[in-house]
Amino acid sequence: MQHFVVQGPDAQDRYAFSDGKGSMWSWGVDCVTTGAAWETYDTQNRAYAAFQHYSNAAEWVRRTVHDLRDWGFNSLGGWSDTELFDKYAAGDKLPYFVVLHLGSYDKAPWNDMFRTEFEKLMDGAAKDLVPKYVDDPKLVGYFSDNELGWWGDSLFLSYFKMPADSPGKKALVEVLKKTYGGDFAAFQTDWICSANGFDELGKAAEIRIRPGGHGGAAIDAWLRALGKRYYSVVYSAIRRYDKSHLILGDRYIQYYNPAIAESSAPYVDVASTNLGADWTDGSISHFFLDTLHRATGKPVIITEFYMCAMENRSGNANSSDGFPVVQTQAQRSAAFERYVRHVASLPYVVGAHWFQFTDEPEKGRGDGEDYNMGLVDIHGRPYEGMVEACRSLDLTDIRAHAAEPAEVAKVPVPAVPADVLKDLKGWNRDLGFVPCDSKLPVADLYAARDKRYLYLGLYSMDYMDESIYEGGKVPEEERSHWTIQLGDSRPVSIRFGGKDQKPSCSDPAIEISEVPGLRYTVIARIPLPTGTSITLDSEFATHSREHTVSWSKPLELNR
Amino acid sequence: MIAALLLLGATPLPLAGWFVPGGGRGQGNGGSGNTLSLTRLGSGIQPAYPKTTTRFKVVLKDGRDWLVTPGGRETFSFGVCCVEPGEKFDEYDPAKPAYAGFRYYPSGANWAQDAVARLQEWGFNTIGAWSATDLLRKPSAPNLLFTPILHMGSGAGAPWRDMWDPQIVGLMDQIAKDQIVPLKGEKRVVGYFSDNEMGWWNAAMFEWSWKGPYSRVRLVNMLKARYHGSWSALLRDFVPQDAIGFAGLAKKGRLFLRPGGQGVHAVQAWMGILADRYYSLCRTIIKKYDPGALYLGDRYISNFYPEVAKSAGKYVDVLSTNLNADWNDGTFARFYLPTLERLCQKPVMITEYYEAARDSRSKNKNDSSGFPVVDTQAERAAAFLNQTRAFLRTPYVVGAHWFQYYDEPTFGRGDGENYNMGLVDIDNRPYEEMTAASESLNLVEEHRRAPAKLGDVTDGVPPLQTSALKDLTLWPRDRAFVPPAGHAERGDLYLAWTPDALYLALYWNEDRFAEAYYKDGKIPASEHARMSLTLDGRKYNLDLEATKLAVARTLGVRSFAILRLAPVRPAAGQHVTLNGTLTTGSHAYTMRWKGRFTLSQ
Repeated sequence: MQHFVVQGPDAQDRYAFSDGKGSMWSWGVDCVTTGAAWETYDTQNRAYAAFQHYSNAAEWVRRTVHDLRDWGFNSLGGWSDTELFDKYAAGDKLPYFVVLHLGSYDKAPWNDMFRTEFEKLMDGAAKDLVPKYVDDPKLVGYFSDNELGWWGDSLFLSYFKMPADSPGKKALVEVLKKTYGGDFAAFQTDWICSANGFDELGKAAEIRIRPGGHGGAAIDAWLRALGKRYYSVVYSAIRRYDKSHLILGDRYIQYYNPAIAESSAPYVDVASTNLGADWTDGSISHFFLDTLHRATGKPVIITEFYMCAMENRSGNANSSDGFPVVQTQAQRSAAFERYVRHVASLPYVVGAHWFQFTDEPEKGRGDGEDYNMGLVDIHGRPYEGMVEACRSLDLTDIRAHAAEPAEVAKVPVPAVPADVLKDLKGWNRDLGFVPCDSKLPVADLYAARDKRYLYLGLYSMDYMDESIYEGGKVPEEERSHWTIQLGDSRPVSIRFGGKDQKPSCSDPAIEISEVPGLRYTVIARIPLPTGTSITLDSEFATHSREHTVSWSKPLELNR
Repeated sequence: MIAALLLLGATPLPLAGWFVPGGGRGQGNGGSGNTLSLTRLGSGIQPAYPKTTTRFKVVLKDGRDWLVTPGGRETFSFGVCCVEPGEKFDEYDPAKPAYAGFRYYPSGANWAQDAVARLQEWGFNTIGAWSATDLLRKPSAPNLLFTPILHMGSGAGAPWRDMWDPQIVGLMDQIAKDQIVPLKGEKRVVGYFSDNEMGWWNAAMFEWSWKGPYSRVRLVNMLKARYHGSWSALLRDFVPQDAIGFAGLAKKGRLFLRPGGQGVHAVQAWMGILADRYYSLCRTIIKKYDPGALYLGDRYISNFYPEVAKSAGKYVDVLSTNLNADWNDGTFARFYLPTLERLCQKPVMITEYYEAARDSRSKNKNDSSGFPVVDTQAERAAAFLNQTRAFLRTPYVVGAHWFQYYDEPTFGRGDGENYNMGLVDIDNRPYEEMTAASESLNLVEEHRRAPAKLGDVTDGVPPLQTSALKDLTLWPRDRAFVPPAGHAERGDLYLAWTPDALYLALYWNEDRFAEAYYKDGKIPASEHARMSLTLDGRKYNLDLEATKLAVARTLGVRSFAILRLAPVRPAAGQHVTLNGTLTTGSHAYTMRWKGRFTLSQ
């Protein structure tokens, strides 16, 4: 039986899924479900509930398959009611994806993943979950998990605290020994620890980064070891029960450390990530998907993306944190469409799954999430604007023109509106994007100007656990570091990051603003240099220099 | 409504026979007051477990057993099974109409609210087995009782699979734990049923006992002791296969009954050991996770194995049985409950009873198996009321749970069962005749009136219409009942007359799957049920499967035979002397009747 495989790259560097009969750019919807169960329905917190609108599940399935196809979708994303589709739409089933949540069976990656028990638990979970899908040609593949906590600093500290005889601690000590070539003195230049030799590290529970050293590299090495362990074990567990369906990664949480992505490469067919738009117009950074693709050498699938409006028919307040929110449904559908057009035009992206089929409950889910996420509202009525946007997408045509962007020799610095210091949203980021010289960037740089100033905007991702520093506070010299040099002028040094810490800048003439977060915005306002062209040399290092990005480009400053 | 009002004056139909206060039964509960009667006088059964302090108690007072609430109130558990929302949205098929809560209520919580309100209004006080306990716990109803079922044995393969295998025991423990722990703190849970209608089929269980390594060794040890280590003594009762001695049999091979032998009694003793194991495991596990719960037995399938029921008495707090009426008007064989109570010496709970009508609004066919069926809802309600009243008026019955809340699907359940069982139809409309009947009962008052006075032939042998001869349905069974001499283990005898002949009707239970006892899979003629009889000096020795004197006969778990005997030409005022012995198949049980009776008009 022919199962889905990954095709590519072709001459345009494009990838796609193929079931042997044709290729597919997976355009899907997550959580296509009947919604709230009647048994537990809360009349005080209204929610989408198919039983209110359909006489039975078969009718719901028929209508839903019809609607999704009519709107242009070709896939069921994670957490859909695939058993119902199996039962009632067997002959007309959409290709679908399954989230196995294998690691969750053992609180991965926090429980010691180097125990043999971990392998057994992964095997047991796979044995429970996988065999029923083995012969289904409509299954595209498996996600091993969703949004695992690959938080480098925290995982390093947490494994370091494990007992000396635990397999996890032993593995960490081995990685450290190898990283420093067995040279304990070298280790000590990067780390503060009471141990007097590698053989004493096992018993030590506390460790801190030594300011000025390169501890970040060891943290990366440890993440690679953890990643290798996780991806290889879940790969074997799935493959023991299913030799052929695709293995599609673990859906990163709108953030990843490139070291983790790299470690997954031998064990996944496709890299997956959840990724909301970086800006509420539906646009996203360059580096996030590019680096994920380059770090893994695999095509990329976006497994969740979001766009919500305050104007909605479900009474969603969109009140918790973390998802893009606009005012109107018109803005929402425009941003949604922009996002899809953008990711579909990236040759290495093989699909995108909208999160989700329905709006969240009026007063929020069990965990409080209360967003206007739906193609349909809680009453089962589609949002017309979203449906129109879906219908207007010609994915075949978009894919036909998908290609890597052309090289830019000079960056034509565009003019920006007055309120630029707030954030990057209003910038002309297409024109003002400054390509970098690094292979695996963790930041984008944008340039803009007005009559008096040149603005440089840095957009980066970094996760820092400040308890990896003595006193639980990142020292100044270990904060994220951004240097800017324009022509032959004196380099400017900007530091940022750390709880309740303001950015600092070596040049008082330069004004800095920031929007902190896991994805971090820093904008520098620099008095406009003279001349129509100037070379920008810039470097960005995440905290403790774990990752660096550099730029060297002429900027065109047409007056 | 009218039908129910008329029923208020109805006399309870015969059920349980005379209850004689003090006749071998205790008057108190041994003084502790915090557990059920562990020391019924004369029971000879010693409790095989430590006492626990339970929330609900079972107390024997003034010759009647009562369920006593945590607040000290004496009550009778009047319940309904399967109070749950029926078909789920995900599975509902409009082409197969069925009860489906989602069609009538906006949510499970609304359904539960209404179900609890309705049932209490209709006079019920207990949520029976297979109910949506999670949903039904939510509405405020402090006096509502819950009696969940665990399926802890059948879920693990017991009692057929090897109950000494630690894996089976572990599974039983897990199944019980998973269900009991979430109900921690729920004071309205009376207790738990361990299982439902277990396959205590002794011939089949005997066969299975050879398959488990632990059970095999125990069985062989028991046989060795019973036959004093003499293989040749054993061979008088059994035919071995692949074994030539106890040592070999402990490893492989098996035994069949030898026709003409008495091996069946060894099998019965073994059944007692298996039952001891099952009930002690269930009790221990249930009390481990909820020491305050009563252990409510395992709901016999309207039929019980005496040695199993006797063993159960050592472990259960209340013995439970489902009870399908023996006749369509909702009446029961007379031996059933008295024998059960005598063997187990515990109060009894009726955990399912039934009555269907042909005029059901759910258009049920009522033909998939043998539940009682009448024509109209009025007749159905009358039979329901009479059954309930019969239970209420049986002193040692502490509860009765109607099966079930809603009608079965029009075209039957998954297993084909297709009866008008419901208090409500598949569209959620109550059957008003039924709910008026249940509403009319004053449970405590009725139970205080137990026992009911039942008739028998000592008041005169009734005459019979010749048109009533094809089965026992139209017999005047109350007046024709012949009281047993000693214990009627598993059968009733009825006596009536026409001007042509005397008619004896036997109604008795046989073991299921008894053919598995024999090597060739067939029951030999020598092992048939027999009736030996002296009637006015004439002797009969009848093979009940073969005798030409039977004018009607059905053989099975529930067997009957109507015998036409004409030693004299009967007439009112004549006396008849009878001395009879029934031996059931494989010589398993024997019961006797003896007396001199007068034929009456």
